[in-house]
Amino acid sequence: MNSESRKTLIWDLPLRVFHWMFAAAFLAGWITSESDRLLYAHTYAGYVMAGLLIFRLIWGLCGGTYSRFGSFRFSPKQAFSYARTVLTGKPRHYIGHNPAGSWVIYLLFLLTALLCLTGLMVLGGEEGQGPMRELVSIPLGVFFHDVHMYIAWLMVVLVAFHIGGVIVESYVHRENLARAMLDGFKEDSGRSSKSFISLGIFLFLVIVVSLPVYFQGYLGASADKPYTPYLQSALPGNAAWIEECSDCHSAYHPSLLPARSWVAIFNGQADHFGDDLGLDDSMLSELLTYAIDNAAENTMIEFAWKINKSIPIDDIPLRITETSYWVKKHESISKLTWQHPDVKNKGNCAACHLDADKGTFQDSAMRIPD
Amino acid sequence: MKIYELVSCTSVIAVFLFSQTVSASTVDVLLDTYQQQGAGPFSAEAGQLFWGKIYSSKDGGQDRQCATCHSDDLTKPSKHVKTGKVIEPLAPSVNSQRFTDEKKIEKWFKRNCKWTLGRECSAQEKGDLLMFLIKQ
Repeated sequence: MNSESRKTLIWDLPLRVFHWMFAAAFLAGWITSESDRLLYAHTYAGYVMAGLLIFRLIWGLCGGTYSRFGSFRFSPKQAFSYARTVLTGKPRHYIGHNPAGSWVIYLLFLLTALLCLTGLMVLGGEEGQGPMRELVSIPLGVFFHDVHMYIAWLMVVLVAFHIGGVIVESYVHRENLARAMLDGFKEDSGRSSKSFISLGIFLFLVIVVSLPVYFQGYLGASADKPYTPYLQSALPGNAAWIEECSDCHSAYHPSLLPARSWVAIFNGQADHFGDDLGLDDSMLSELLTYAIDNAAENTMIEFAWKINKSIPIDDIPLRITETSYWVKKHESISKLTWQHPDVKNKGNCAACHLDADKGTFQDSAMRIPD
Repeated sequence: MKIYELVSCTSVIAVFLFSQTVSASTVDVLLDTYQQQGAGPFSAEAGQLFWGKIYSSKDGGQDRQCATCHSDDLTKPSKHVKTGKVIEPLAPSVNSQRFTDEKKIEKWFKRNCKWTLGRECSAQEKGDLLMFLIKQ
């Protein structure tokens, strides 16, 4: 610091709003990533990140002095040599982004773009939702689900580098970089940036307003009328199927088992889990045709595809609860829940899946009874 | 009373009586069939005894009887012993849908006799049971 140093505005308000909102959205996305039920919120975090990235790219061209890409255009070589000087001795002081930090930022932008793109592909492929629902098949969606996760992990590593860099830089140059990102000021002799206060407030308000707009369905929801976003239209039903099956148990939708299972179940109708169904030939053929047409391998919906894939090719399960996908998806359900008076039985799908009779089994339509 | 009033009044009564006989005849038709198979006469008392009989299950599980699924009070809903699915009351006095569909009656006789007794019911047993059940 020389005698000329004074309070200089480095980070304009829109950039600061971008930074903290972006961090919050990534954190929200990370927290909501493990729960199927929070998918709608997870998607919101993704949309916020995508919107903020687009804003940031534009702002990099026409924003405040130190927000512009032109102010932190460094080669990878410069980034590495700067990082070396930080470790070995006295690094040069940059008023805006330093060369190493700049490259972390570029990589974060690139990964964010890929994260949002793969996120939309997963949403379209696995859930049949979002702008890519027509473009991405289920297996492609499942594949990109893994890619999406790896990108997110890479971003966590980069964020760790970013935070580590801020701590080291703050120590080496005796300046509080985190506080500078809050109030925008550094002690320096450099040129002050314009503040763009109204645009910063506007950006902040856009995000704040988007919250109740995006989540408005939850505002009118109650325990009896729960909000279930991403609910799909019912899978093809059949009156005879519902009538005959629901005599004794839930009318499990045929998409829950592969065709070979249904063939085996109806061939074995004389001993259907201890009961002789005694269905006549015409009823039998109607039920079997419906079951095969709508079996797991013939229904383009995530769980059907995953159930079918989880069954070894030479295996013919007669119970949905025997398939390894079902087992995996229900292993976190506690004994207490299974013993709940409203549940009692593993075949009682509708106790927790509000859309069980439609056959859609959407993540958002799942409620564990209190 | 004008003639068209008389006609409409009579036809309402006729339809009412006719509908009564239709629902009663579902059971009558079945009883006739059983009689033609050599069974009869049928008695509600014998049906009640048969209803209460207890059978041991072949696989060594819980003993079986009609009430295992239908419970002891036929005017109340009960629960399927294995799946927990609600079974609507069997008594026609509270559930007018019962014993109105020949095919359904035979379907359930076949399915439930096999499960409970390990064999199909005889025409005599079915006739007695019907006599008992329609009075509930």
